[in-house]
Amino acid sequence: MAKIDIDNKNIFKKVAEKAVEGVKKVAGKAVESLGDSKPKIRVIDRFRAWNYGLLGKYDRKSAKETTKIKTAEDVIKLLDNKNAERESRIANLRKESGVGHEGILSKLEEEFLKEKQKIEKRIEKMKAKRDKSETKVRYYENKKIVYENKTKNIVDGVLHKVEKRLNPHEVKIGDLKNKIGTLAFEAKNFESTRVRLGEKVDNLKKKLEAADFKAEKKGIKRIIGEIENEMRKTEKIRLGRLEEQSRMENKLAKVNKKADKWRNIHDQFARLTQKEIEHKKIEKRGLEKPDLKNIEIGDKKKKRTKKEEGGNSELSSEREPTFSLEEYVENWNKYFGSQFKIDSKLFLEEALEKKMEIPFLEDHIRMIYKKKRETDKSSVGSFSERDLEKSLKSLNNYL
Amino acid sequence: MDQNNTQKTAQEEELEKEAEELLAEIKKTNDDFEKKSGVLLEEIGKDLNDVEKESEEIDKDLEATLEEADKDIDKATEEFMKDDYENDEEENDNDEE
Repeated sequence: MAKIDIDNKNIFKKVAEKAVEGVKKVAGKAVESLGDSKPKIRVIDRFRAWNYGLLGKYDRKSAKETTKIKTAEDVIKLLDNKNAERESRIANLRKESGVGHEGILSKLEEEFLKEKQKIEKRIEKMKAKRDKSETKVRYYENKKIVYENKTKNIVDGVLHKVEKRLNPHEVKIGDLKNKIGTLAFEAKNFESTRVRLGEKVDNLKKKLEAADFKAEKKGIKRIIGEIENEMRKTEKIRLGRLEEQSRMENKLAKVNKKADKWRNIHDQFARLTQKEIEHKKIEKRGLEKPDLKNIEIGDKKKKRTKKEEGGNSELSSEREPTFSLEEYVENWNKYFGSQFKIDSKLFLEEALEKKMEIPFLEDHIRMIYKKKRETDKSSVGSFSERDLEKSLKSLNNYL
Repeated sequence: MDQNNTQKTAQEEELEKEAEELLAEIKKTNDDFEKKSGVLLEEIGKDLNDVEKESEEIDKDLEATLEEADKDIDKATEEFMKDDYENDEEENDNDEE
């Protein structure tokens, strides 16, 4: 296999960086129009952009390989038919030809055998190509699952935190709304009473004007004066309370607006987890052994190469086994649960059921370990990252 | 004449009584409302302060959560992209085959 040189590597790196820059640019533009909530929207947009952009890229790669699989299968079928057809033609010739044609027939058979061997070689080559493409599709799908799970875990983490902080806050806001409502109700009642009392005062004044005791009404005039004072006080109280109520309503509206911002962010994050990503299912072929060495990547590739160097080549004899995340976590807890127990509820149900290759499962365990170490140190205890790696390696051997 | 004066006095007393009762009613209404709404306002003011304070804390806390998520997604994407071009490299190798 041709080796890639450093310059080409750099080109790929640059292309990758450019892709990230592009995504950031798009997300950035969306942010400019959103004022206050810049950082939050930026995260959401990035999630969206990456979910659609990067996963879409793997969809396209997957589709390309699927086409290759289909083409290879068509060619295999065609070549199989070609062999079968020639075999039947030779058989017919042998049946139909008379005595004395043995020489020609055996020559034809010899040619056919040579051709058959050539075709079989081509079939084998096509099968290898098909298997390689199938493994690639599985790799892309696994990669999508791992990325999807990682982002889902991040999103779930955000949702959990927002809910944890916002829910009790919402209750308090609701309570305040009720109290301000009660105040408004009391003020309304007070206003009705004030109107009723005002009418009573007017009636009293009318009665006073119509009264005969002109010279004697001084005492009443004093009381009426007091009533008028008290009515002015009523109005003052009413206006004061209305002002207070409005000031508090404004304050509450500000608090509510802030909470609203988080409600929106929560809903936007929640919608991210609702997006279903399509996964192609390519079952592994039981007896055939596809060429895996060309599709291994990163550390895995290095690890395997080392094994091969040590003369223990797993590549030539077996493929990476797959387990559901649930099985893997169960096994983890069985062997290492006493040191670091993993609650399978931490994963999405969908993720738990999916079958994955061990490196991807290991990634999930690493992610949970990291998360726990950051958020709940007591659950990790003295179990170090080194212990984790050792345990993962041991678990790989047990499985 | 005496009868007329008596009537006037009775009328005046009656109106005076009515005015005093009305004054008492207004005072009581004012006092009651002032007291009741005062208690409510104090309670609302206190709760509002708490909620405002909490709102600030929530903002800070959740901003930090988002920043953390931002970093996490960065890291996840970095890993994703890293594998991506390593895989491209491998693809390129195949093309050259």
